[in-house]
Amino acid sequence: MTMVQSGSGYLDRPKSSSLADVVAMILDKGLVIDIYIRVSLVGIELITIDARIVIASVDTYLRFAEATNRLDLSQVDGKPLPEYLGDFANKGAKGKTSGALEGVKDAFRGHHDDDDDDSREAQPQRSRRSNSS
Amino acid sequence: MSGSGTAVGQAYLYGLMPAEAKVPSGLTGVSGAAVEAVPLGSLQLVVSTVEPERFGVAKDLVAHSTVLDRLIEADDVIPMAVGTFIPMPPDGVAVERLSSAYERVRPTVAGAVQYALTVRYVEDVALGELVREDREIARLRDLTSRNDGLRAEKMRLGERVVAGLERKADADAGRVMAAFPPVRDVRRRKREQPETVLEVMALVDRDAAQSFERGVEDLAAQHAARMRFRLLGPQAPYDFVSGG
Repeated sequence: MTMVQSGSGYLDRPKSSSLADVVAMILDKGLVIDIYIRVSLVGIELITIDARIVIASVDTYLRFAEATNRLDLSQVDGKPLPEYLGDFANKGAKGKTSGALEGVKDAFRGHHDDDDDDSREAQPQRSRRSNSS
Repeated sequence: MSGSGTAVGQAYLYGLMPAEAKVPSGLTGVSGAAVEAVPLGSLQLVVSTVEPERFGVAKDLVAHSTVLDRLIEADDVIPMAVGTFIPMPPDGVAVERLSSAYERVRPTVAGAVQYALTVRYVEDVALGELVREDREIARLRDLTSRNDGLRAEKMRLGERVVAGLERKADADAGRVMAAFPPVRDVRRRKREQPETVLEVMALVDRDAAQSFERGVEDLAAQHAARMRFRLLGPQAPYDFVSGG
């Protein structure tokens, strides 16, 4: 998939929809004429479940806990948080991933690696998960 | 496969276009089949001759969207739901159902294209803000980074971070929408990921498309330190043809 950078360079303009885009945005849209929808979308329901991991789940909470732990505040804006300076000497959480998280990661890998090469920039949390294994 | 569109059977239907529209030639659609235009009164059907049994793999989904991208580039198109098969040649029922749906939906989307905008947080920036703004998040973060295990505390941290992101996203989405360029209509989607600020589909007049794109570029530049903007389109008006 080719990326077209806009004039300002701040806007991602994919030239076409990836499989993940189609699943998330187009699959349940369009004009429906009930008698003519005859097709069960074999194999596509699975992808849909992968792509729509609900917000309020154990996996999501653990993922964001890990991401918050890994956060290097001095990298974010150069100002360490005075009362928690101890954090910077202790980055033990990096590289440790719970079993639950692995499952989610694998689910995403299934369709992300082959069709969505540029997703790393748009979705930083996904590439980070791949790095942690 | 071109030229075989008159064989009795079924055809995959991508969308409905005005009779006078010029359908691009040489397109490849679902199952690698050719894309053909079939005139039908005041409209034309854009179809591929494909057996329904062969449809349904992931590649077909992308083909559906790629064909519709090319059609909307050329002229107005009313996109059909993924997986629509009609009898070919169309029987009386098909002619009646398709024509009436076309007449009903056409005024809403005539002369317009759709854009899909997704805005996401730069994750480390948003998380950094939360650690600074919320002492309980800072405390739990400190505790769980110093100690292994503590699953319950990690869960509490994650839950509080996710709730914090949702609160932030509500405010930031409001700010983005308040400065949104003029459009014919918009549909907001429910957030499905905590780091998502906003997902919005816009129906935009063709002759306003360029200024819309520039408006979104300006928004992206303005918020670049905290959010990433991703714009798909122009695409067929998927989100504005339902109810039919």
